[in-house]
Amino acid sequence: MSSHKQESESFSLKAKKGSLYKMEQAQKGLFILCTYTILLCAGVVFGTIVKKGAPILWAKGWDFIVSKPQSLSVMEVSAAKGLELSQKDYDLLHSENAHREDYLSLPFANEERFQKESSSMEFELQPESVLSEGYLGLLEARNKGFRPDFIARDETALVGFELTQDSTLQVNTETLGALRQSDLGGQELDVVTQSKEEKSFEVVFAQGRYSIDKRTYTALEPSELIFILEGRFADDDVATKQVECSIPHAQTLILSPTQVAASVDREGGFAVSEKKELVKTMETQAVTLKKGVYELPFHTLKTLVGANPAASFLHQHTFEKAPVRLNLKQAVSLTLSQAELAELEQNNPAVKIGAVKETKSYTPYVRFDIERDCELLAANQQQVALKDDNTKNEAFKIFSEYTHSYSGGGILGPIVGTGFLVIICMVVALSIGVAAAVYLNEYARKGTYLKVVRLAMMNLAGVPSIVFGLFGLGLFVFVAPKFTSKPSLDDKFQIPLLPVAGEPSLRKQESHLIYMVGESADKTESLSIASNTGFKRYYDGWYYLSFEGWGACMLAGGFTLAVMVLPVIITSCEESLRAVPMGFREASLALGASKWQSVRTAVLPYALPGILTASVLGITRVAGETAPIMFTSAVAERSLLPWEGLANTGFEGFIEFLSQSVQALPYHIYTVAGRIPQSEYTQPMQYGSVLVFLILVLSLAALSVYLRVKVRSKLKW
Amino acid sequence: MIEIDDVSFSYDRGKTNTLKNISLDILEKQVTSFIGPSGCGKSTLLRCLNRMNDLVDTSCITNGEIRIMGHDIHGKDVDAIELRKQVGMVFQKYNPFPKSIYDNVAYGLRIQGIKKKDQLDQAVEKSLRGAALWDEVKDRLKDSALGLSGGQQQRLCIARTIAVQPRVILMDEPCSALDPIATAKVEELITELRQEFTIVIVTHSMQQASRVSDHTAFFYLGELIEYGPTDRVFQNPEQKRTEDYISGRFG
Repeated sequence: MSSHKQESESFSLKAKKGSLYKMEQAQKGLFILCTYTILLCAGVVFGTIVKKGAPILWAKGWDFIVSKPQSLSVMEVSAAKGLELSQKDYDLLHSENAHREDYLSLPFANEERFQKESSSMEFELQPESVLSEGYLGLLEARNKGFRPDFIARDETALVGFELTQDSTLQVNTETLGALRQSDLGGQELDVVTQSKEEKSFEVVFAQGRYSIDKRTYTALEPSELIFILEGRFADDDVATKQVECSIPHAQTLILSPTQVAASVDREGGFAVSEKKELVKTMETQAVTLKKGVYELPFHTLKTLVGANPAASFLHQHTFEKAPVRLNLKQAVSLTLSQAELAELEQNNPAVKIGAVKETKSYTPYVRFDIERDCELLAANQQQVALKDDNTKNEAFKIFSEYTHSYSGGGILGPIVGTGFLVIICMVVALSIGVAAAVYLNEYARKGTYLKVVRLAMMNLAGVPSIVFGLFGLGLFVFVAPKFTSKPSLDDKFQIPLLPVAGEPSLRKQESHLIYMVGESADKTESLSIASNTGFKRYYDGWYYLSFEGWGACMLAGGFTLAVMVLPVIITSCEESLRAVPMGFREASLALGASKWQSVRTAVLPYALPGILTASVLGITRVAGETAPIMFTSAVAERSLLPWEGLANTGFEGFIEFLSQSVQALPYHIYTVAGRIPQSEYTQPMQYGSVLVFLILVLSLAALSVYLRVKVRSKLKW
Repeated sequence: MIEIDDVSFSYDRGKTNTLKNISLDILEKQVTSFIGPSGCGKSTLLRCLNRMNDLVDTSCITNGEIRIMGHDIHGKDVDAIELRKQVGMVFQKYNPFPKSIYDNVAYGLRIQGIKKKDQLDQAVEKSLRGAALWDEVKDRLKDSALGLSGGQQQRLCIARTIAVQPRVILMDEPCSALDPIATAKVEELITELRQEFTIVIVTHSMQQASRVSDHTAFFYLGELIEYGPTDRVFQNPEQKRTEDYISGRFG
């Protein structure tokens, strides 16, 4: 017994100071401390986002996801009684203000719901109707689908315009005649006749080579001179920079004195062989008109405005009243409210309206009081409705209105945009990625080549996403090939594909200019110039594969994202392929399957769960990227959803659909958080967007975890 | 049936030969077993017979040729897929696909483009009966093959192989992952199958070789040491090394 005791005392199991065990304990403690600190920080950040974003989500609910971003106005309104607003607008007004901390409830009181009677008139618009453009807009707004296919401006119809101050106007005989005929409000026309000499020069340009500067180029660029520039001028070139150019054949032109002064007989201009001065005496007439509203035929008014650039007309007035002739094949049935129809008929004497039928309709309305002066956040529509419905209420006043960008609505546009970008990206990335992974893992011979490819992929996976953004900008936005009949002037090169009947014609190319403007230019002559000087001919009606890029659009963005995520997808697909036991391949081959058959039936189905997980993780990454789409597809503002407002249908419509730029969620967050003026009204939207975004990313990540666990447990071997 | 004529084989483009000048004839509708210590090349030779070694990029036959019923299997116009339809293979680790029992057996027929249901049904039943598995699984053909016991799974793999009607079945240590009872069943099956198929079996178990095979080939370090009727090889080996190996003195 005693000897046993002796032995146990001779050594100790207790940790000594400075022992490795103690150090490991300390390391472990430090590690746990760091982990919890990071978790705590993440919790604080997430908590803040939830705290500030949740109220707006709670207040708007589903509307936050399914409505487009809006810019709201802050209106300071007075207390008033008996205000009226349609129930829809009233509810929207409530929901826009509900999340505000300073307004737990709006100072609205005495709500009373009632049905407001309004009558709408159904009438037939006859062919050959002439009405002003403003009213056409009204008709289009009130009647969905009414878009007259062809509109001819009626140049002879009278339109109104407003002179904002007394002016002396240069007129020609025709204008004068028209003015005499029109109603001038009793004032007499005071006509002053002036005679003016107009100088011009007849200049002969000889064939040859010249060296010209930018001033000359700018002066002659809009003229009819055919010359070939062998370089180009940039905006920031110094005035003395000269570029070689040639005139292919002798030409005679009539130029204005300023053009001649800028381009002829000076350093950096053309040397000309002959210059002849022509003098023409012109008689002009001027009239003095007091400020006020006048009427003139449309084409006369255009001449008048053109001849008097310094006079101040109210153009909008002109535009709104500009009459257009509708080219309708048959009478169309349209509706307007009673008041609108009466106004339309009164202001457009030439409009032809057939049978009118009155229908009464009832809209739910709310009558309410505002108890005290307050601030209201309202979208444009509610703002207009509030004003329009309460014009007669004298107590109701709006003191100020100030618009805050993106302070209301929802985030439908960005979500939809991100959705389409992700779809395009995943279609491209998965089809290329899976194919590449199958090739690398199943077909490629093991060797140096494979090692290099793998190394390259690993490097690519670590490249910053902005680099991919720039790559996408270069490749997809500027260079990628597309089929077109009209190659852009900026294309890098093009391959003609299908000859379609058509005449060759020349096109203006920025870097090498051939000018051939106006009716007088001889087509065959300039064609021969072009072929002599080695320029390409363009045939209208040919189809080209033109390397001009797709422009900033969904397709370019999707492809860029695909390129970015490709290394990740390939690597993880390869991993899942490698996880499929070799035995499956051997067994399948031993049963007489070809290589592809065995890959298809005995390998891919079992690698699918892994590929799925990888692609969901890929989606998460792609959905969150800002940098690659910044240059290639994203826009800060766009009122239409991608499928709205397409001009074409069918395949062309699909192409058009893909060729639009879109809003995207991460870019939207960047916009609302960093690029627009900040205010207390935009802040809830920022936090709301970020919260939705986080939930989206989190749920995608959760989905991938779920898939991994679920499908793995189903497929075991 | 199968003539192996002076075959040398290399896994590394001919730098070192894994098989060295092997010649032997495998007889039709007989069971031939390959025995020998690990790494002696018996599995390699087996995998040469249906060109399974093609999967290794750097492998090649450096000398000689293998003829199956007179056809050189490395001939220029030989399709490895057609060859493998004639020469089926059962692997060491049973490897049914994670599909139903039915789909496993029908796999080989389906990739040959047979889609008719009754034709498939017949073939599946015939093969499962042939593999002595029918009675055990006939009520759960649609269940996952992975729910079967190890021995059943291995017999399912055999059924899958015979479903495509090969002439030769190669078995690479088919019982090494099985318990004695399952092994006995598979051995029994092999004895039955020899009436219809030519069978080549690689085994580590000398008892198994003596029980099931008609001929035995003993390999050592890539060389064929001895080949003859099983009884003679086991009872009366001509070579000293064979005797040593069989009696357990090395290996």
